[in-house]
Amino acid sequence: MTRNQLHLALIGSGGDGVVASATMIMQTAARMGLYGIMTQSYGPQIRGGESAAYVSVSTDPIAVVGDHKDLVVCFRFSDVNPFRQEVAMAADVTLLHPKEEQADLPEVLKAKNLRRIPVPFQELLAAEGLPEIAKNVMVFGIILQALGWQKKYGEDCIKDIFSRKSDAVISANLRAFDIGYHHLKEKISLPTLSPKQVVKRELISGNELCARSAVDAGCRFFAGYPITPSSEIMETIYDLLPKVGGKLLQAEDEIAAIGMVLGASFGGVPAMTATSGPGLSLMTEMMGISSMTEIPAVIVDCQRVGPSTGIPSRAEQSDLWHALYAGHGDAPRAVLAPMDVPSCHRTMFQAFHLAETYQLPVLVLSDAIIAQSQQIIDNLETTGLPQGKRQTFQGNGGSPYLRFSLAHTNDPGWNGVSPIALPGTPGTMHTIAGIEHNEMGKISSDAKQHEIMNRKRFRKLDYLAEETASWFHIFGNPTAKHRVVAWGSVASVLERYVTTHKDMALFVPEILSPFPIAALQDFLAGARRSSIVEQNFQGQLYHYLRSLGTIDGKTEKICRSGGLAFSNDELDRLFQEGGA
Amino acid sequence: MAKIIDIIQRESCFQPGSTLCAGCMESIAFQNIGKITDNGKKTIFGLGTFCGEVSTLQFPNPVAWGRGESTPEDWTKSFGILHHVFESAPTITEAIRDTVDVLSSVGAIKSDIQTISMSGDGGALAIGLRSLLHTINRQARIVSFVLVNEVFANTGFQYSPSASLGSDTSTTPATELHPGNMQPPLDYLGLAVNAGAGLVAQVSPAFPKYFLKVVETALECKGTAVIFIPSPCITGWKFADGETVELARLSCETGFFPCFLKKKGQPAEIKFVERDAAKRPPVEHFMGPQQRFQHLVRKNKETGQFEVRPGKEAVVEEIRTWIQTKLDALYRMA
Repeated sequence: MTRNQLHLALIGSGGDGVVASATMIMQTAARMGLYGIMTQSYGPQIRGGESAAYVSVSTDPIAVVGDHKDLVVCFRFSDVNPFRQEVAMAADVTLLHPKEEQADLPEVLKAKNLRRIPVPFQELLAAEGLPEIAKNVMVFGIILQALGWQKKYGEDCIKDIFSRKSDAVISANLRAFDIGYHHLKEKISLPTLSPKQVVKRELISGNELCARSAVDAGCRFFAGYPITPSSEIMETIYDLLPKVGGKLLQAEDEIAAIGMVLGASFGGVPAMTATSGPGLSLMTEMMGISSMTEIPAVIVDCQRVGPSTGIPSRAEQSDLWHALYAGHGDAPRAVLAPMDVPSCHRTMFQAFHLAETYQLPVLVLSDAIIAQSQQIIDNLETTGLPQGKRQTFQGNGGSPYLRFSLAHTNDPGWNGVSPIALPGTPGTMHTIAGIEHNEMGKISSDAKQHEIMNRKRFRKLDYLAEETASWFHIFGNPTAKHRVVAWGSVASVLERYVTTHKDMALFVPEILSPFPIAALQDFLAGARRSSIVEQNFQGQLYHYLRSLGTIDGKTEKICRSGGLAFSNDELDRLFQEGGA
Repeated sequence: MAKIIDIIQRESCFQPGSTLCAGCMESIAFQNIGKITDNGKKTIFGLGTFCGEVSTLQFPNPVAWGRGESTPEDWTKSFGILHHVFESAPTITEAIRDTVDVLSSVGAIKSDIQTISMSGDGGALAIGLRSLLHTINRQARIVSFVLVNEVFANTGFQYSPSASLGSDTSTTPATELHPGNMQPPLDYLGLAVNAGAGLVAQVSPAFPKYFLKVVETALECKGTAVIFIPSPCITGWKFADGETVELARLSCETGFFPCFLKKKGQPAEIKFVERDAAKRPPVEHFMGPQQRFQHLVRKNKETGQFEVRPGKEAVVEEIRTWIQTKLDALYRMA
């Protein structure tokens, strides 16, 4: 079979270790020089419920898991039900399941040329004196053999994963792997993927990359509060910050967390927090202080289904309006969005660059899919990424320090930024206030002063917009008849879609506010048909772009609630139906 | 007070069907609370987001908070559940209490109704401390249960303000540089007492008779009753199956979670734990079976006894001092 992609699903309950098996497959693929992506699906609870892991392995970079599975491992047929909307079988799918499974084959697991392989896990493991819990390692062995991958890679992977465990644990797992690797007597025909280049690549999740890139981009302080699906950012950065002299604080809630971030940033270090929708709601008041006092802050929001608790483990693009507009008063901010795991790297650099350069809050809208997908990626470059530093006060010839200096107001080259004095710098005593203030920072109730300061704060956004006008991507043929706009994880699904639909082009903004309006207008010029595709109920991007005047009533709004990623089949149907 | 034998034979509102981990103390606590509240009065539960909420109200599993075969028309057997945001279980329950009182005063409700709030320690002591303390301060006539498992279990076992000294959590991991969490836990018992609670208790279902007695007393309390339930978390504390109750018992006897009861205006009662450290089982007995303390305590291969790892004596001594200080403070209220 000549194919360059393979799609797997592993389904079980907590304790079956399906995620561990999937991770082993991914690590082995990364070791061999293949690309891949893995997503997990589970309920709101940590352990005990059903869970599934979807793996796609490819010879080329891949950012979205495939829709139709070639190989499915199911430890219990009764566990399949919650995932029935997510799992579609390829016509000639192979199904591995325990031999003891007596239940009827669930509807979702049926396929035209289904090949069922019952495996007596318990019996085979017991014969070797191994516990049943090792069945996930055995499955890893079976899959490796079925794919025709070398045994050595699998063994190395197991030694690596259990490197901190005792020798007895490693050897038990190696034996379980061995049983699996030699289990199948007849060959299953699965596409054999051979890497184009034998090179060890890295396996990383969006959250881990966000944390790592933030530190690379200069972040030295993190404060946060645990919330699904953003917690891994805090856990990863906990390890990284002490190594570069940074610090992490776990706050008692999100209000305290963003307060700490602003305090650290006032003290002079680039600082960030990460949260999800409910946490962003609590942070909203202090986002306003960041705008008002011009203290840089980076806030990552891993969007989940809302409102309120919503569906904590699933993605939705419904925090867009919140990120753009939430809070009282006229509060300038920038909003960025990565579209897949590797782009988190670039986005975090952009975020710190904008926050530090323009002294305002920057929101990064990730989502549960990007945050928790594990992807095999190429080495990431930092050269060429924006790395602006904070403009600090270096003295101005003896005249007094003005924190919000307006001295250059009439200079057309001035971007509205006034130099920050680090606390403790002699001669730079000043006040920072959330109340409206004058150049010195002294509080003022003067209406004219308020207008002047608003102009100063929004002047920064004008210059920021100029700098970020080219922060977008176009995929597909830009002269195609049908032009589509999407952002976030939906954009990466559409990126895959346009590769097989030559009559389509895709526009993906890296920055949502200020939006690269001119670029979008260029992109849409001459289009026969245009659509905005997004994953929220109200069509938040659509209405936002309408309000900016960049699209007219002829552009289609294609949207639905989140919770489930778009598949190619669904996109086919949605484009056929046309939007509202 | 009902007889224990009668309580045990009652129906529990907490039915099978939850997705709590096998070996979770919370399900044992819920079983008992369910039986004690099945006393002929209607009960309304206000739940914050915590393991006990997400794992028991889970679609499509049957609602675990059910009265089995009882129909909603059966007034005393049916009950209400309100899931609120993470941080506000006590305040939402307080408002339910107020509504019940108003409806009772105008005669719209004839029988008494029990109002109970439940939260985890993350929800009650970190983000929700404000809600808990102000509800106590307003003397709301509710019973507030706080299930204390020392971590944010539902988001992946991050440190919570009740985390024991030295514990390894995902945001205070034990590394070569850090011996796990070194932030002394919040004195939640002292806070609740000083805020003016009608009854403050810390009690585990590992002491079933005492647990039943304390919860029954709490239901009679005229002010706010706050009951902290130490809940060994099999997944977060990482111990072997079947040790949940034993660990809960040891957690009291070694002084980590002393059984405590204080009614307003009366001296406190401290049970099942000795004030004198020499008479208590060593802390290693409680710490040893848990992987979260593995960096501090190990099992001696020859003797089979738990012992402090060489080089970690200072950290464990700090834990002992913290426990003694905490016990002394509690005994001063006795």
